[in-house]
Amino acid sequence: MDRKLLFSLCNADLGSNAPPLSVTTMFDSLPFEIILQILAYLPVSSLSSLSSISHSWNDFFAKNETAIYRESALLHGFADQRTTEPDHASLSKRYSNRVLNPGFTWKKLCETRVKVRNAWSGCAASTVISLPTQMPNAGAFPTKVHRIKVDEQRGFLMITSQEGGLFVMDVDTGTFLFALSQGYVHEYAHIEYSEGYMIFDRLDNSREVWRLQDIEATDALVDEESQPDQFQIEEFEMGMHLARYVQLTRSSDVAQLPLRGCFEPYALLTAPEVTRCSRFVYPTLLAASLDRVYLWDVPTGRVMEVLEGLDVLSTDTALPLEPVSNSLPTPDADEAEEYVSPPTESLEAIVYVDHSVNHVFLAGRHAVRVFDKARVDSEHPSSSSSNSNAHQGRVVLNLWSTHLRAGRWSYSPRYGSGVQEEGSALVHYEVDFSERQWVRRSRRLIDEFIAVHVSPCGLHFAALLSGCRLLLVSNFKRMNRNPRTRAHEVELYNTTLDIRLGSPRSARSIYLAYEAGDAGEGRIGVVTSSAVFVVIVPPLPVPEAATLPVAPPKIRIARVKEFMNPSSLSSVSCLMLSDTGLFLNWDGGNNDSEDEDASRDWEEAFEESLRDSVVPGEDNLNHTDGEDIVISPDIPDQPADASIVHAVNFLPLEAR
Amino acid sequence: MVLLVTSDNEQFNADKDVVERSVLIKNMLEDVGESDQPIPLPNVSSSVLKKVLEYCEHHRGEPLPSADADQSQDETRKRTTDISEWDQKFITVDQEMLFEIILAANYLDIKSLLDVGCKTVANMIKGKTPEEIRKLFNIVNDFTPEEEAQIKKENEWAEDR
Repeated sequence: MDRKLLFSLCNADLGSNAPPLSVTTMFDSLPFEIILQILAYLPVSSLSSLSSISHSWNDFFAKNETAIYRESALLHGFADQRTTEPDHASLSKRYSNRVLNPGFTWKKLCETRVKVRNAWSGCAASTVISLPTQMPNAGAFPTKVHRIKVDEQRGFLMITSQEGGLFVMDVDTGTFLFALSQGYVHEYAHIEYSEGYMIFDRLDNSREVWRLQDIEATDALVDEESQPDQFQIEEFEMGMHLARYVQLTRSSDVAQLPLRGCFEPYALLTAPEVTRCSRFVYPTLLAASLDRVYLWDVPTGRVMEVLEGLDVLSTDTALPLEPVSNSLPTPDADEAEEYVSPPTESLEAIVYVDHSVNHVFLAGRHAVRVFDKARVDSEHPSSSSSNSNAHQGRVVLNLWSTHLRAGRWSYSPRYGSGVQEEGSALVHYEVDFSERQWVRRSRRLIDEFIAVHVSPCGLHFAALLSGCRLLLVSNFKRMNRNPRTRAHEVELYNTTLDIRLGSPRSARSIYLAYEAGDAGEGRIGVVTSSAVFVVIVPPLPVPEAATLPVAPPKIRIARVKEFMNPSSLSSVSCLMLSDTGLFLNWDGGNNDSEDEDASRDWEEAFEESLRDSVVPGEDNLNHTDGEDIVISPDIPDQPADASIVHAVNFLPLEAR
Repeated sequence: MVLLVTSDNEQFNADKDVVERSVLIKNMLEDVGESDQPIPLPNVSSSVLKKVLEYCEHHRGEPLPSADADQSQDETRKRTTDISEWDQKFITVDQEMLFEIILAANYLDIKSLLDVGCKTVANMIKGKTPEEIRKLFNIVNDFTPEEEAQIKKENEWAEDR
C-alpha cells in the first residue's frame, strides 16, 4: 500500500518491529494523509497549538505548511476550491491589494484574514485615517461630503457633495482619479454603485448610469429609449480630459499608464412618476414612489417589473392566504382585534429600500414590509396601469415598529465593560444577552424605522429603528407566509435578534450598513447620535419549522473610539463597509487636542447611557391600559459645515 | 454472505451489502466474482473488525459517496465537525481503539467512517492549549522555555479572541 507512508516522529520505534496495529497506535504515528484530514477540521487556533507541542510537530507543520494552510483557508472560507495558488491572479477577484501582498503563502493568507476578522471585533490592530482629496485645483476641493460608495477591490471610492459634483479617488490615499463637475451633478446627489456601474439621480426624476471604463463589457445592449443623452456625452469628454491630465502628469511612465477609476455614460433611466428612494444591486435598480416600486434591468435599461399597492396591508389581493401551521397559535377573535393595533396599517412614508433576487424590502416609518418580486401565475396584468409589467405586490413579511420587544433574543453592550486593546481603534464590549418567549402585549412603543438592508444571499435582513435598536431577522424565507396572522408574528419574533445600542432616551439612530455571507455571518455598521458601532454576527441558525430551541447566535459589539462628538455624529450622512474598511463622512469633530476633555465627557455620557438601554416599558408587561410609550429624543438633523471621508482601516500597513 | 478473516485469524460472516460499504472489499469481490473464498484482512484485528462491521450494519443501504462527491461538497458547504447521534455514541471508545478504527477505515476505504474518526480526533483537540494536547496524546515537551516563548510569539495572530 503506497498510502502506508508512515509518518512517525518521536514514536517511530514503536511501529517498526511490530506488525501494524497490534501495538498502541499513537496520534502522531497516523499516516500523513490522515493527519492532514484531521487538521482540515481544525481552526487556526488549534493548528497553532498543535504546532507548538513539540519539535517534531513544529517540523511537521513547517514541512507541510502549504497543504495544511490551504485546507485551513478552505475551512474558514478564505478561499475556495478553484483557488489553486494564493497569488494575486486567483485571489484578486475576492480581495483588494490591501490584502494581497507579493509572495503570499497560504499561511500568510490565513494570518491576514484572521487579523482582519479580529480587527473588526476590536481584537487586532486598526487605525482611523482621514482622506483629504488631493484635487488638481483647490477651488473644487469637496469638503462637504454627502454620499460615499467604495470599491475596495478595485481600489477607489466615489463621493457626492452637498455642493454638487461627483468625485472618484484612490481608496488609500484620496488621490484624485475622475470627477463629474459641480455644475453637472446636483447638490446632495444620491449615488448607487455595484459591479462597476454607478448610478446617480438628476433633478428631473431620471437617473444616469455610468460604467467603469476598464470593465469587461457584457453582451447586453441598452434599449433605444434608455440611451445616454448628449449632456452625459459632453460631460464625459470634460471628465476624461481632466482625468487624463491629472493622472498622466502624476505618472513618470506616461506610456504605460492605464487610467484608473474613469466612468463612461451607459444609460439614462427615467421613471414615469416621482421616485425618491433607490437601490442598485447589479443588475437590478429599484426605485420607489409613494406606493409603487420600479425595477430596471440596468444592462438593458429596461423596466422589468412594477409592483403596486404597496402601502396597504389589508387589501385582500396583497395577501397570499396560505394555511397556517397547526403547531403555532392562531389568533382568536379577541386576539385578532388586539393584534391590529398599530396606529394604521400604512407603511407611512417609505424611507429606505433594498432588494434581493426574489424580494423587495421597504422600510416605512411604521413597518418594514417584504414583497415577493414574482408575479402570481393566475394574476392578470393590472388594468389600472399602462405598464404591462405591473402587478400587485405580495407581502410575505411585515414587521411593525411598535414592538416593545421584537425578538426572542436581545443583546446590548454591558455598562462598564468596554475595553480598548492596544493598537485597536475600537472599544469592544461584553454583551448582555436575554432570551424571552413571545408574549401578548397591549402596550405599544412609538418608534420608527429609518433603514433596512438585506444580505447579498437574500436570506437575512437588518432594520434600524430610530431608538438605537437594530433588528436582525434571520432566514426569513422560512416564515409562515400570511403576515396578518398571530402565527406570523410569533415566527418572526422567534427568528429576530433585537440589538440595543444605547439608550433611546438620549440618542437616536442615524445610519445603517450591512455586509453578510450566505450563512448570515457578517458585519453591521450603525451610526447613532452617540457612537459608531460595529456589530459582528456569526453564522445564523437555521430553525427547522417549529423545532425550537436553537442556540442563540453569539454576537459581538464594538464602537469606534474616535467618533464620539454627538453633533458631528448627527451630521453623518453616509456609512459604508468594505472588506477591510469602514468609511463615513466626518467633520473632524474631536480631533483638536484641546477637545480631550469634551471627548472624555462624551464617552462618559455614552457609557452612562448603557445603564439605561432597556426599551422603556418593556419590563412592565402587566400594564394593561394599553398606553403608548413614545420615545423621541430631541436631536435635530444638521448638515455638516465641513465633512470629509474618514475611514477605519482594519488592516493597517504595520499589521500586514 | 461473505467470509472475512482478520489478522488474528478470526472469521466473520457478513451480508454482502454490509461489507460492500468498504470500497476495498467491494472491489475485491468484483475482481474475484462469485466465490466462497474467504477474504483475508491482514491489517485488521478481530476486535476492530467487529466495531467496523457494527458501523457498516447500521449504515447499510445508505448511498455511498461517489468519487467526485468530495470536491463538490466542499464547494457548497463548509466542513463541520458535527457527528450524528448514533455515530457519536459508536465512536465513544478509548483512544487506542479510535485510532485503530481510523486506520482500518482508511485501509478498507470506508470514507464516512474515516470522516467520523477524523472529526472525533479534531473535536478532542479543539479548544485545547498545547499543554493540554501534550497530556491528551502523551507527547513530551522538548522545547526550551526560550523556544516556547518564540513559538508563542510567532503564533500570536492565531489565538482565539
